[in-house]
Amino acid sequence: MGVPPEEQKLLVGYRETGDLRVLGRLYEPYMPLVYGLCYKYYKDEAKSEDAVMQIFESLITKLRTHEVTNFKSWLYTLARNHCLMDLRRSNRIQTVDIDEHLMESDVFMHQHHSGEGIPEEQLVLMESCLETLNTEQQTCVRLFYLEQKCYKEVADITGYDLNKVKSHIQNGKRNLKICMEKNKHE
Amino acid sequence: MNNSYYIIRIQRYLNGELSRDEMYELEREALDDPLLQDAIDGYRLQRDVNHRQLSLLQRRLADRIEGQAKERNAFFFGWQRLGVAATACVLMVLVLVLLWMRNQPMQRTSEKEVQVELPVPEGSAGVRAVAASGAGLDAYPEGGWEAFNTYLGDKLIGTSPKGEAILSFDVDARGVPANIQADGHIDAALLSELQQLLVDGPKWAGTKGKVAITF
Repeated sequence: MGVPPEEQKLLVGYRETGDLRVLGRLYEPYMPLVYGLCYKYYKDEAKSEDAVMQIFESLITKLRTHEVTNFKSWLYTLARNHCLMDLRRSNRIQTVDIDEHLMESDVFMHQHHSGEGIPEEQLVLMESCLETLNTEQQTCVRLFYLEQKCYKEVADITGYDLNKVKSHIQNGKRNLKICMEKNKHE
Repeated sequence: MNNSYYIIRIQRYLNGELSRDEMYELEREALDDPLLQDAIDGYRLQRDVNHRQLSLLQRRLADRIEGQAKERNAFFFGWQRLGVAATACVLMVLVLVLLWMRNQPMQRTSEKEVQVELPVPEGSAGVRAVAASGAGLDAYPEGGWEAFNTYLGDKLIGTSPKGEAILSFDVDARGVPANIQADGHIDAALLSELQQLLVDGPKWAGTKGKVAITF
């Protein structure tokens, strides 16, 4: 994910001036997404709304001191931690699928984005790694990534629940990546 | 990134309004973008994308930002107000002082007016002669005390030291004071000057006189 230069300008501008209008321009586009994220954890409208504002408050201080380069992923981590910490404090922590995304780094995405340049041994490696996944994950990953079916179609084809499909794909993707990194270094 | 674009896509995705390819594209993007993924999950839980709610949130953000601006303004006006208040205080003190100063001289002038009225009109140097009372003293200036005082005043301008002298004298047949003597101690030079003044001065009526001269 490239960082939009506009965003970079706002980040630097805010760090230097502390002008909330600049920070507002940076944060506002993300508010609907942050709200959705908060709702996922709180399952409560008012709390999520407040959290969106509280996250803005912590941006006010944090972005003055932290030099952030990728605002979107940084914001994601901040927002998520805010919700999790808050839930932990109020002792209502529920089971949340914690690290689906945190382990994701660019290897896989990279391949996706600069698709032409994938060496053949990588493809072979991927094929053999796919074999190591359990059936559900393998099926879902194949359908999704190789046949480019959307979740609903995958669900229709496999008969799995839509949410299951999603987690199979996410977990399958993660396992695939772990497998490929391990084998690459061997 | 365009936020309304994303939110509308999410909404249409959740409503099942997207085409197969669009759905796939969003899902694919969400896999690489955890924030988007979590947002989709959240909206799915909420079962709806509530645009009114989102614009209220935007309103809150705008208010918060406005708050800082207002804070700054309030501070700014605070100083301005302080300045105005300080100026007003200074002006008020000035006016009070002026009023007080105007009142003070008026009191003095009124006191002076009283003083001025009291004495017999006198010569320019403030010299004043009055008849001293006593038995057998009957002399008075023929032209009146006023003329006598004026005469003395003209002659005694700038005389020093200031003081008072009491002179007793006889009036001879021509009305000229003679045998002029001072009551009490008096500087000899001053005495002779005063004697000369009396002799050269206006004529007197009567036989025996005594004057107290203040100069």
